[in-house]
Parts: sequence; structure tokens; C-alpha cells
Amino acid sequence: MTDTPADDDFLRRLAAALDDDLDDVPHHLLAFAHRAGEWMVVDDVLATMDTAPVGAMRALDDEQRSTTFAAPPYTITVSLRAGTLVGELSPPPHPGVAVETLQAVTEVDVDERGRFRLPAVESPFRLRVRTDDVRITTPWVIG
Amino acid sequence: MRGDDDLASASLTRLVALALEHDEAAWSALVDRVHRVAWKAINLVTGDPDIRDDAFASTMLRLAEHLGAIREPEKLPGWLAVTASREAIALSIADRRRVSRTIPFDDPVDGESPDEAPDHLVERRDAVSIVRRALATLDSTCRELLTLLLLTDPPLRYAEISDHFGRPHGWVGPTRERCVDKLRRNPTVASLLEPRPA
Repeated sequence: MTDTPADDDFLRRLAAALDDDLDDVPHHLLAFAHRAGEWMVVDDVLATMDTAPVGAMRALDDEQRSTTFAAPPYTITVSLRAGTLVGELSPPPHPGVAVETLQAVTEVDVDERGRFRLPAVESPFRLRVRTDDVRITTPWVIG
Repeated sequence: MRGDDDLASASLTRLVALALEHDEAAWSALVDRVHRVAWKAINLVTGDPDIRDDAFASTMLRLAEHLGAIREPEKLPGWLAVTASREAIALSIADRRRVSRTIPFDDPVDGESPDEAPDHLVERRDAVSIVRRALATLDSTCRELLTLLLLTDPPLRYAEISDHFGRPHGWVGPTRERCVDKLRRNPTVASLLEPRPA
């Protein structure tokens, strides 16, 4: 099966019209894109999220949102209220957790029940978990 | 010694491989090569400048996040078009709902229409805003398929479309024809391609 020539011509002309009319990416955004390589994840396991719609933080009420990350055998449930991140990691033993924003990486203490808390978390953020045998990184969450 | 010209002419496969070795120049060259695809995809979803900027930034973060998982770097433009489009849709929906959300690369946002910017945010009635408004009237499959077809050069072949949507090869032709026909029958889009008076 081949593409319809008339369809191809229509798409080609429309694509050209789009290209002609669209402004360039603003300089500050392109600069950010060049910098984004700093946050590349190469060897880590990328955790999945299980919220619905898939990928969304679930609104628990007007102010609190939650999601669960999974990277078997680990799960990390987090909630965010007024910039304070509260999380719980399972199963034990509980490795260290770091909360990463575009500005900084903050190591947080995890208690004996796997719970952790960090105030004033800026958006976007992601979690990084280092176990004895694997490093886990969550997707960026844009709060 | 490698020069800038080497990176400018390098294949996407080569650029991705070098970027994964934390070669900053290769990452920059990769961004320079593909960023406009993301920008176009986002602008086909929303005219809201704040959402547009956030969607572009988050798309670039997702590119860095997922670079190591990209199996076929030569298909990166198509993958980026879909990712950027979904980021913009997700942020538009989140803006409406006032909730935080993030959209992993492989998760469709079926059942949700992209947010159409209020008229005062549409800077001018150009090709981008015309096509954006036309796409917003279509179902999510057509929106995604047409975005892919419009933003990949050369346009995706049937086998690639079939792979992308996880549908049988025979699904592609009729679906492509149906979606293109819907867009072509949009009178404003049609007028866009009419010869302009001298």
C-alpha cells in the first residue's frame, strides 16, 4: 500500500505553511534545552507512576496531591501539600532518598518505617533512590 | 580532533550515543537538531505562552530522562513530536483542573481535548493557530497521527505508523485517509493553502 499523492501534497504544503509561520524557540527556552542534558539519566531504573489518568498526581483535596512510583520491588508513595513533600518508601530495608529539583539535590532522612518529609519543594522535582544494587529515578513531576 | 562540523553532520544515532556518554557538545547538537519539532508540536496544541514554555521545558527534561531508553534514534523526531504534544495537552488539562501532573512518554491522554487558548492569547491568525484549532476538533487518534505526519520529514511510512500506534498494518491506510480528509475539509485550513492574491 502506498500513500495517496494528493494526501502527501496536502500534508507537505501544510507543513511548509506551519514552518514559515512559526517563530523560533525563545532564547531562554533554547538555553534551558541545552542545559537539560545535565539531568540525563543513563544507568538508573526509571520508575513508573500508577496514578489515573496515567501519569497524573491524584488530587486528594483542593490542596493535596498524591502519586505512587513503582520500581519493583520498591514503591514510593508521595503527597504534596503547600510545597511540603511527604513520602513513604517500601519495602525495608530503606535506602536513602534524594529529592532533586532544577536547583539542588537534597538528601532526606528516611525513618524506620520508610517515611520521609521535605518542606519547600520546588517544581519540577523528582526522587532518586539508591539501594545496594540499583539506582532508581522517578519521572519529573511538575507541581 | 572532532569539530563542530562533525557534530552538525552526524546522524541522530551518533549524536544520541555521544550524548549518553555525557558529551555536552553532542547533547547541544542533538537539541539544535530536534528542538523545533517539539516546539511545533506544542504550538499545535496551545497558544497559551505560559503552557507552551512549560511544555517545551518539560519535554526537554523528558528527552534527557529517556534518552538511554530510545531504541531507534533515527525515529527521535516522531517520538519527540508525540511527547511534546502530550506534555502540552497534559499541562493544558492540569491548568484547567488546577492539579499537578506529569505525563510519561508512553501514556496517551485519550478522552481529553487539548486546551484551546482564549482568543486574546492567540497572537495572530496564522497557519499555526488555524491548524491548532482544526486539530482540536478531531479525535485524539487523528490529532496524534496528523501531528506526526506534519512534523516528521520525511513523513512516517505506514510501517512506522503501525508500530507507533500498535495497530495492524491494514489499519493505517484508512485511518490516515480519514484523518487527512477531515483536516482537508476544514474550510479555514483549505483557505490557508489557496493561492494568495498578488
